[in-house]
Amino acid sequence: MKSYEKNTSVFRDFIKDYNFVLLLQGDYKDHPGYDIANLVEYNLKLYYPKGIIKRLTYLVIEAIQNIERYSLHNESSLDHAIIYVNKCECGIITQNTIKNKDVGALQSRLSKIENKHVDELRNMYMDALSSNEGTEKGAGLGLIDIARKTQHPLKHSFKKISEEFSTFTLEIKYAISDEHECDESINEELIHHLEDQYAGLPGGLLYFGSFSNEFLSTLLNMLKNFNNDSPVIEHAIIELVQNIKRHGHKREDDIRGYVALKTTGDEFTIDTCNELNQPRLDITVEYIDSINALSNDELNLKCLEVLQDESNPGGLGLINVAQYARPRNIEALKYEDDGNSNYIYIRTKFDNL
Amino acid sequence: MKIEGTKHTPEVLIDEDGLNIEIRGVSMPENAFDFYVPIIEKIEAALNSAKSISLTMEITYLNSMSNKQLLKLLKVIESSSADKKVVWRSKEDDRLIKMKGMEMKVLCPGLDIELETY
Repeated sequence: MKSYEKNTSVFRDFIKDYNFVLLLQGDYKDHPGYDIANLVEYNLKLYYPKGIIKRLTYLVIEAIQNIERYSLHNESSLDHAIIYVNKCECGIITQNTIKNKDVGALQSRLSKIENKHVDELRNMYMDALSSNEGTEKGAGLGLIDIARKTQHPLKHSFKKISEEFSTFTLEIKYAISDEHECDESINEELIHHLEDQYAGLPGGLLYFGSFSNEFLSTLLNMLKNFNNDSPVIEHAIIELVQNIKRHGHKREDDIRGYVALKTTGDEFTIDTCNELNQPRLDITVEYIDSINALSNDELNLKCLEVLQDESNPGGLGLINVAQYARPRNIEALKYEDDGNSNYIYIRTKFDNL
Repeated sequence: MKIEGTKHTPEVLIDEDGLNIEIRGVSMPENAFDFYVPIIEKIEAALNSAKSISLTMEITYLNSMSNKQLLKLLKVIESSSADKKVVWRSKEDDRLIKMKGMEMKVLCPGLDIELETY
């Protein structure tokens, strides 16, 4: 069994427990707030009414902009956001670095809004709005407004990482439905898993959700927060994501999938996972094996041959990805859960970008 | 004729007077066939009476399905008797788009595709 088999089980857990999961780790300098909100909106409109979506996208933008505005942007591996949506709630966890000397003031502001009734928060918000006082980069309204809109206590923590810096973690929860019991242990496992997978990496992104509509440009925009404009990576992502949309198994009128991007600085990994019906699952894995067996010259000839094949409008995507990834091979793994659910997991690594 | 560019499709300008064509921007539609076939058909029809044709392609993202459709367009131009000028432009540091241009050049020997960088 290949070492990343556990990721197919993660995907199966996602399918079972979540509608949407997103992680973005990076320098947050390309203002990803609106792109992330777009992804949330695009996924949630499949499941929830407009009112909930509007409120959630507002919370997401406020939370992400807190990282953009207040992070020191000195350690991209320590700045991240995780957003998940399951049947009962949406969770938004943000983390960024701050100076140790600023911890006290932020702690004090958070203490003032903790466990406050919504009416008290509204009054605080109105006072802050009309006050001339504010933090250096904003009006100091964001946290109060987040607390007002979630109607759920905010959780936060500080962790000292050096004599000069700490990380600040904020956990925001918004109840979507009271019909379902929230199992907090599942969410905690998810967060631990994601933090563990991305620990120490200067950048990465994980998206689990719908692949039914076009979201590639949003995904590529978010990449700018940690990828140094590598066309190779961008082209490979386009092909792999569009493959899921074209061939992924549709369940309840939606194709869901997973794309996980990780960079160490020297190496970039793209993982994708999705449901795939037989016999396409076997055919795809065999096809990838056959591409891997080709020399570089044979692969380039194969590319020209397929490019000229007018009988099939596709067929070129994985060949292109294999060309970009050389000297490495594409790794493909199939998992047959039972008679109904088959999954394909594809890992592509790129060197020296 | 002008087709505005979108997040996933390029801007296409076809000046039928002299048949000057420009295709610029991102080309990664989910269904490149639907996007390109009407364009190819229009150009093919115009080529029946055109004495010359000039095509400039400046693509920033090119998915594999678009790649096939652009080759089809180039083949249509290659087989016409009009005077032809075809330019494939790529960013200086984008070796992939450059490579795609070189592939097109190999596959269309009857077109003297000029590879330019910017």
